[in-house]
Amino acid sequence: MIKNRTDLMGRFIPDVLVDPLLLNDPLLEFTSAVVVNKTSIHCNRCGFNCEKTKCKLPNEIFYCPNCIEMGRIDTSMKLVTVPETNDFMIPSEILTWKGNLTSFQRDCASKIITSVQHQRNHLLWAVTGAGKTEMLFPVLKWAIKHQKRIAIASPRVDVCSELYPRLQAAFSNLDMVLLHGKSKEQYRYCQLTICTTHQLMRFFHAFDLLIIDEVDAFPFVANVNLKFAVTHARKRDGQTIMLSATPGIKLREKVIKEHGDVSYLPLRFHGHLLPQIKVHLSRNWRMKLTKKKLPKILIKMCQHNIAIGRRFSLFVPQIKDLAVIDQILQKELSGKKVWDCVYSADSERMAKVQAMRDHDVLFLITTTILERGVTFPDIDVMVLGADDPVFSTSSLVQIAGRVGRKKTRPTGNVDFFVGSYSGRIRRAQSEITIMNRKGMQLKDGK
Amino acid sequence: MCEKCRQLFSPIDQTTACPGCGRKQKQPRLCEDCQIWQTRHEPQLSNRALFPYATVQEYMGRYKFQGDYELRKLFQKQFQSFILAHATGVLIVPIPISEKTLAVRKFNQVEGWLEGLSYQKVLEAESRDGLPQSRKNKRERMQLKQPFSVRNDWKQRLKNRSICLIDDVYTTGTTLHLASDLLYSFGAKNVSSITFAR
Repeated sequence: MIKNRTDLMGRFIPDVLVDPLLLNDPLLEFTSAVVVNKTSIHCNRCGFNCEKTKCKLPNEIFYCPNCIEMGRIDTSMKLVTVPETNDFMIPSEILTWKGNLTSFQRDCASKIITSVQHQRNHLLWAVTGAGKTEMLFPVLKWAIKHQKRIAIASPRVDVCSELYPRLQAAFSNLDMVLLHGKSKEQYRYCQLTICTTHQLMRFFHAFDLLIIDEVDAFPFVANVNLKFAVTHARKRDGQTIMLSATPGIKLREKVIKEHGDVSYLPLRFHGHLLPQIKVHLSRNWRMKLTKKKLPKILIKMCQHNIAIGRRFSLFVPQIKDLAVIDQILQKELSGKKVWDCVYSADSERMAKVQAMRDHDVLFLITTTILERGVTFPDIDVMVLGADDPVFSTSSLVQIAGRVGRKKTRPTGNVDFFVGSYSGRIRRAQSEITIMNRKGMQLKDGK
Repeated sequence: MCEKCRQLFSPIDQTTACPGCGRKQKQPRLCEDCQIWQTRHEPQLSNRALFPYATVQEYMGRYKFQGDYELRKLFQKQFQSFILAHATGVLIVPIPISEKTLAVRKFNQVEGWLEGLSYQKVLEAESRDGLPQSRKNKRERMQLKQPFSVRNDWKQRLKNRSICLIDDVYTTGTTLHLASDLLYSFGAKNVSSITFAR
């Protein structure tokens, strides 16, 4: 039960969750949760439209089946909000981060501030490992100082969990809150919110500045309802900053068409180029897998990596492949088990990623969930079945981008095992080549 | 539902199920829980269940607890034919939910499956204070006091009737035993039960 008015500020909460005493507060504003039209219903929280025959409760009540996981809302309910007042205590020292941006990073950072000051949206297109988070620090500092309410949202929960401690360290005097489906943290009214894009459904005209990290990632990229949530979570006169290493041409064109700005950084923070993908043909790997066999070269690489203590991630197309590969490796690799498997619905997902971070395991076998946002500084990557359609061009570029993230080891190996070449792999390789060419030009001051 | 998904829901083999509670077993003998009921409860209740609970746990989570009422349609046909196959010529009585639960859930999950079948709302449930059944442990559940009453219009009409109670999940059996006690006290001749899951 929500008892305090501040907990409703900029929020979009079903009235049944609000203390009845608070519901009499004159500052509360109400919107129908679900609107009934002639043949369909419209959900005001997620924007979903549903045929009336497919979402009917007894007694002529209709509910939204789309956002039901956030707690069912129906036509008998209202969504409650209190207008945002931006009443924040600004710490005297805002940015406590003592690092320095490279001149290229500074350039992008100031372009972002200029966009926001001119009320324009911005797309920061910067290669994996360019230091996107750090490039946000100047605009965050500016926005905090100017009493703006800010959200940093990502479609990926792992990205949020990784961003949160980094931001806490960089803005150590600022109160911030991390919200996602699996987090135990309670909602708190803070100037800075870090959350999954799903959580934005619970906000209404809250944020002056809404930053979306990994804007081209699933599920945000294909989900109109999440885009709907973004529009109601942001204030009408607020700005959106989108971050991506692999924005598609459509997104780039859309930003420009809607009078936004695009900034571009093809060079990594340490000034080294992106590692290129090496492809190994391994015909019928899928059939061999059903016979409990892996490509010999893959096993050899695993053995080699274990021998020299090289950390790596092995990506596979399907969750169901994990157990099979796990089994084969247990047979093929002698000695102690030095790896773990992790997938999206894994109940120990967070703990396993942390174990990798803490060097408790040497490598992880995983699916596309760890393709982006999650950084293990000193790893190689392998992809088994990189020709599977589950790996889009941007997925492949992202996966390759996991490598060489450490200043002291700015390169590394990216090995793809495929049944046959796919257009997606070729495009990923050429994208990396183009980025590297542009990166070279930038470095040479051309 | 596609054939592939349908196969994920495999029903309990009735020829080997426990004759007391209907749980999935390899041999059709009275299970341990039912042997305990035998010592502390008269008369015996005989329950049939369509699915093992583990099989439908996720489905129940979405249908009952998240309240996706539309999902009732997935098993309406199958559950209704199961009921008709095991209970002919008897009064079909769904276990009710309390006013308080109904106000939140806005539907009775058992009646959702029975849509189109002829059944009678004989019982009503009093709003209990404290935790819902599903949040209690086994011991707490088994000590439950009578939560049901017979609706006024049925009080005089139960004498010598054969009744089949319908519930969603048989967990400890407390709910169904209490409901059957009540019906017997109003003169019912025979009370059996059918649940969606055990």
